Amino acid sequence: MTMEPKDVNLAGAGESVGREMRQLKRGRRADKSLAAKVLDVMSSYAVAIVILFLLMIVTFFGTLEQVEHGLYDTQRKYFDSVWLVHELKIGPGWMVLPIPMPGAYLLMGLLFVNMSLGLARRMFKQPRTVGAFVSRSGLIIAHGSILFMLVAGFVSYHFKTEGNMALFEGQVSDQYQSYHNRVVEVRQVHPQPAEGEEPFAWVIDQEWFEDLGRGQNRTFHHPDLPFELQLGDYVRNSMPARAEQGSSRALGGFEIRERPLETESERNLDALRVRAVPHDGGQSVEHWVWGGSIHPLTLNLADGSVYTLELTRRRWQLPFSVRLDEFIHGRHPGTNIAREFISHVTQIDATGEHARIIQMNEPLRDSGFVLYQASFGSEQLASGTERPYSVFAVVRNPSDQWPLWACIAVAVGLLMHFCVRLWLHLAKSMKGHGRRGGRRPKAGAGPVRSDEPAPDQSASPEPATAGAGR
Amino acid sequence: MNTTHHLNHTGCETAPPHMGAARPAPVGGRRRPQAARSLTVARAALALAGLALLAPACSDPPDRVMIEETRTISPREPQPKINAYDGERFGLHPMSWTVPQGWRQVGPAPMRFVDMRFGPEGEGEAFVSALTGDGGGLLANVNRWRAEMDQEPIQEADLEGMGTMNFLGGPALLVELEGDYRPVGATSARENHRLVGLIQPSTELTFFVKMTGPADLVEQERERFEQFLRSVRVRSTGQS
Repeated sequence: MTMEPKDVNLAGAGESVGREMRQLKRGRRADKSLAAKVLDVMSSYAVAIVILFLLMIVTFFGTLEQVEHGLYDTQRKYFDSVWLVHELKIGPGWMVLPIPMPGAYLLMGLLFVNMSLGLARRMFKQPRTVGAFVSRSGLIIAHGSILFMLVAGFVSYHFKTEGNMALFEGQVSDQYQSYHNRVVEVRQVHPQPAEGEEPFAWVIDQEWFEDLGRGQNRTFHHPDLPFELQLGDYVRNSMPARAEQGSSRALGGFEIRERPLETESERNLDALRVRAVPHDGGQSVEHWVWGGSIHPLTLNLADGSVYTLELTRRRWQLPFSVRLDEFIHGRHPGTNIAREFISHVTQIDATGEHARIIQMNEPLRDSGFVLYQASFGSEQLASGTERPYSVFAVVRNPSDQWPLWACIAVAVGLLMHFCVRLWLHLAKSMKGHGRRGGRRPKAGAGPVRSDEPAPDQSASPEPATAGAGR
Repeated sequence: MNTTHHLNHTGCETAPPHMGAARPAPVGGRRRPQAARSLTVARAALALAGLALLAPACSDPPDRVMIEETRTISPREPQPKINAYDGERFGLHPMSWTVPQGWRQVGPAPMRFVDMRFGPEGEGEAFVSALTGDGGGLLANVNRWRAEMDQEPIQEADLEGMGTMNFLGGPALLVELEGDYRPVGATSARENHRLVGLIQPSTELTFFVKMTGPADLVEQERERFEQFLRSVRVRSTGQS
């Protein structure tokens, strides 16, 4: 029996097919392993939407928080963390609602996993033909470039070092120090290291002592150190003063007074209680070390060895030295408005000395390090003259240029995708136009003349004679 | 054409068996697409929340830690000042100075702002101290030092013939003595010693600078002593 067009219920057929597909999906889903189901969820658009929404929430709350607590602390809490608790203040400060939420570090990691799985899944599910690949290549490039940008952020977070170097005119340095990262350094100054041995310092990162509150201690040791160090009573921002009578924090006639935290984290001057306990049973010594100290604490041991100990900013080494030859600070005539900051420096490395200029928008780049002109100042001398100094911001970031490359690749990918889609659209349009313009004429009707109205295409074809084809 | 409709036990239409349905459609009809999408989003949110909560909890660091990290000291780093007083370290010391090369800062001893030793066995001593007001007067302090060096006391008029040296921006009386040195509290004298001292009086504070040691050693270190004198500054710390 020939299926007559008027006998077909298209809407009903579509509904039936849809119902069957859904049941087929459910059947397939039920047959899937747990791993496959997890992969389905983790690669889904729904997860991406949830992650992006949570990132928006974290960014919103973090932006509000940094007004009060500064950029550094807010970044650590909201963007460098796996999870956090946001304290939502309700009303005029009379109620605080703690809201736990995932940190941006976790969310970005999940986003990377989601986008990677989604990309792989869609790539392998597409028909493996040249045409399908070409039509998707632009999106794949753009998608992959965004993944690359996430990788750039990960590399920057874990491997970037950033700090500053201050130089007076004539001064030479090959180090830069962190803005925020604090360390305790222990250094043996007597006896001096043997010939051929490089002097070094033992370093204790702040992650090991910043959690030590009042009355809390942690012991640090090393086989080559003749004493143990007990660190405790860490104070984030403080000022030393001559001890008042009866002060519970007095050591050696001085005490540490806690101060409110500065909004700019680098202005905080921390303090730590230090107790050195010699292994030979000698007398232990206990002192405060302070982040703003001019000189380190000295430990004189019974065997004549001398060690210094200080709470300072982490320092990194440059593969070259920099000498500030001249600092030029130009102002607009008749004003105090800065016009230019130019540092004439000499870069000293194994190949010799090289004259360089560091000024705004023209940093010094070498060996993966970048030195920017950051700020300047001057020191008042006893003679009344001023001694200028220049401050360079030093950055080492392996992924420094990666975001730029990723953006270019995204643009290229989207442009490719646009061109492919445009080509396909034009090809389809031309094909469809050709089909409509070259309609096959009816038998005996003769050619269609251009001045005759086009025949009505909406009428259904005449039914075949009854019984034909059954 | 015959179309076969498959009904379940309640009379609702269901998929034909050959389509591979593992289970029949739910009683009452199929789920709405919008509800299915909402359920997927909810599942995704729950999965993420679970991951966040299951993220490794911060474990407490141990109480005893071995130091594993080191940093190479650059030859361009300035040498740290050894034995700086707490007041010096904190910038609360009323004075600043440079310890001469080869000398060693010790202390702090009571009543002494700066206390140093020099010589192969630390037998030389130099310190800076102060007394409020005129400190008892120039003549009394000069005779005190003369007594320590086993010398006879002098008269007021003898002060005028004594030399001066610049200290803290002003003239200070220079005292130079040789003899057997018996400091306060010592049970025996040290023979053939030399004393070079400065006394700078003022209405508020009188500074004393004193260098003692074997005569040859003191003469040998005289230049470094004068370098130290030129480096001393008094500063206002603004601290209590």
